[in-house]
Amino acid sequence: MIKKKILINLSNGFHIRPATKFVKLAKKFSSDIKIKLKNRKVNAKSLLQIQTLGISNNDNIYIIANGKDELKAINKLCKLISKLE
Amino acid sequence: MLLNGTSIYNGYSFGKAFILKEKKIKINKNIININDIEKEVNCFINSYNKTLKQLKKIKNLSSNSKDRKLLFEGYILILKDDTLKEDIINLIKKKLFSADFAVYSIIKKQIKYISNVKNLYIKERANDLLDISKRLIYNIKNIKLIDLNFIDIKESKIIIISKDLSPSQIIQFNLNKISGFIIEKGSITSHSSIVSKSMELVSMLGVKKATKYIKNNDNIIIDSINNLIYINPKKKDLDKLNKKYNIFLKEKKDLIKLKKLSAITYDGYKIKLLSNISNNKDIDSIFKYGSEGVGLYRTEFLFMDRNNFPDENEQFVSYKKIIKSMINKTVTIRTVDLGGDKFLPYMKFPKENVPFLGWRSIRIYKDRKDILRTQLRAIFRASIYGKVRVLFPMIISMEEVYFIKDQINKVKFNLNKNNISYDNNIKIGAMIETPSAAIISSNLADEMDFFSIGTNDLTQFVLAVDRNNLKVSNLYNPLSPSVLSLIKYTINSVHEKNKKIGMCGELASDLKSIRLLLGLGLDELSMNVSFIPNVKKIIRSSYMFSCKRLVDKILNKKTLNEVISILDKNNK
Repeated sequence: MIKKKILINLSNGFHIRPATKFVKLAKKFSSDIKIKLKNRKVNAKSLLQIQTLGISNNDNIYIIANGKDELKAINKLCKLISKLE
Repeated sequence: MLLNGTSIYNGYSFGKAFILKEKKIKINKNIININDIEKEVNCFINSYNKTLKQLKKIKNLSSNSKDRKLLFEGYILILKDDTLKEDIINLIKKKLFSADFAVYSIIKKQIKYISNVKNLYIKERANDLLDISKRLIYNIKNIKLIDLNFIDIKESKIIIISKDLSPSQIIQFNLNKISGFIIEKGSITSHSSIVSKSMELVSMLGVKKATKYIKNNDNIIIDSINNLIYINPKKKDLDKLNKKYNIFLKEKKDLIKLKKLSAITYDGYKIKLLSNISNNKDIDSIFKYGSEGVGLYRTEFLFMDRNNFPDENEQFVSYKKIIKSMINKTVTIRTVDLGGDKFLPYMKFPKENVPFLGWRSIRIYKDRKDILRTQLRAIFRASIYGKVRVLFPMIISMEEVYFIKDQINKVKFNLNKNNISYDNNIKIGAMIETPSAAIISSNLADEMDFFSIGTNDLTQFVLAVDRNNLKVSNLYNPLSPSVLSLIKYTINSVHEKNKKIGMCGELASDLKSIRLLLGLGLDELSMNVSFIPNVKKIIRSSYMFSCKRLVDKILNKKTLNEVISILDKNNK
């Protein structure tokens, strides 16, 4: 299992459009992937669940991956987040 | 007929009314008959499939808008979520909910999570989920949704009239056909406001009962300069408005033309016009209005609306973004000005009788050196990306200046030790916003590189008037002879030491006072960016020698009334 902290730098937060990009990418990996904000952890492949986290600008989130391609998944997802606008 | 409200983007807009009113849907909350379960489940599944099909169609029609395409892709992802469909069907089967009530309940549950988040932007997100549930419920009830792409409408200038607008509605709009919005609800931070501003659509918010008074296809004119909406105007009004509109267009063109010209008087005296900003959203307008840089970047907003202090890296990222996007124009970063009326939910502030004279700004740094040092490190690290100056608020003494310089040296020492690069020539400056700083400005100028007069606080402190207290606020005026003479004294003391001094308070954008400020010899004026074209226009139509004469005349007057009447005459 790998866990990585990443800062959300999106003035309007992690809203439906950036989150859609994220989920589409997450679904490409076989690993089990979760997003954690404060005390809540949800399935990173479910846009519906991610939306309920209400991730805002300047929030630190954790991405947790568990599975065969966990390293690749974390790297690709973090890279995507840092590129989102 | 006339209506009024709050204007978002200044100008005029002509068009035909399109009332965006959705039918109120009654959710059937009664328990269904056991024999109807299958019928109800099928009804939901049909609606679900129909909704998916509709969303895919809109998505495919959205090739001209990436945002729209992505939004609908998101909607589809949410609909296809592993549990959503199952949960809804379960509610119908196990709790005997009607199809529409089951959809409504599940979506409401999801929205409840979001509503706990204290963030305006995120809260508007609930609208996405509401939009999805609306689509499902409309299809369950076989009601047609309004097509926001306006495929069937030939009119090319539509003015949308609505109670409220959600981001998902806005993104669905075919904006080529829209010339303005009239919205009953809506705050400055709402999406309708943000979109109108960025699209430069002349719009009005907070127009009460607009959907009641305005009918479909009414001829509408929005005059947002005077905050008026004309419904089916008479020919007489129409002619008058057309004339006003043409004058407005010409003036706007002239002002934008000024963008590339510098703020220089007829006799060749130059002054720098900078802007006050609070976050990186303000950057675009800086270039549009021809500002020469940032004269005051209030960093408080980085610290507000959150639950913990922003760490060094986070601050670094924000500063770097602004500094880089300014492409070598000066960025003046003011260190965080807390206390007074600016408190943080995650930091304990003492109970004080007079917080404005209490534990604030630089006084906080002395007890919480970590706050100052974290910010300084972030600023210094970002300084290699452009031209940065650091400005310190609320200075009253040389001790404070020595303290700041000591802290700066410690930060630099640490950066050097870790081989982190920064601009070694970074300029540091002090706000002149206390009488004390003004009086000792000559000494301050031995240690600091530049100064900025904050007229709002300085006026309050010199006159001992709280301008938020309605009983005495009429006494508050930065043009009072005492304030002006202290400002004059400060500018002279600083100039004697060959240092630069500017102004960043409200007075700096008071059009009537610009010639006075020029004559006083200020090197820079920093203001809200939208004032810059008008201020520049005044400067470009002035003679420095006559501004100096104006200053002599004004400084000789003993009362505020005399000062005001001279300025009024001067601006006729």
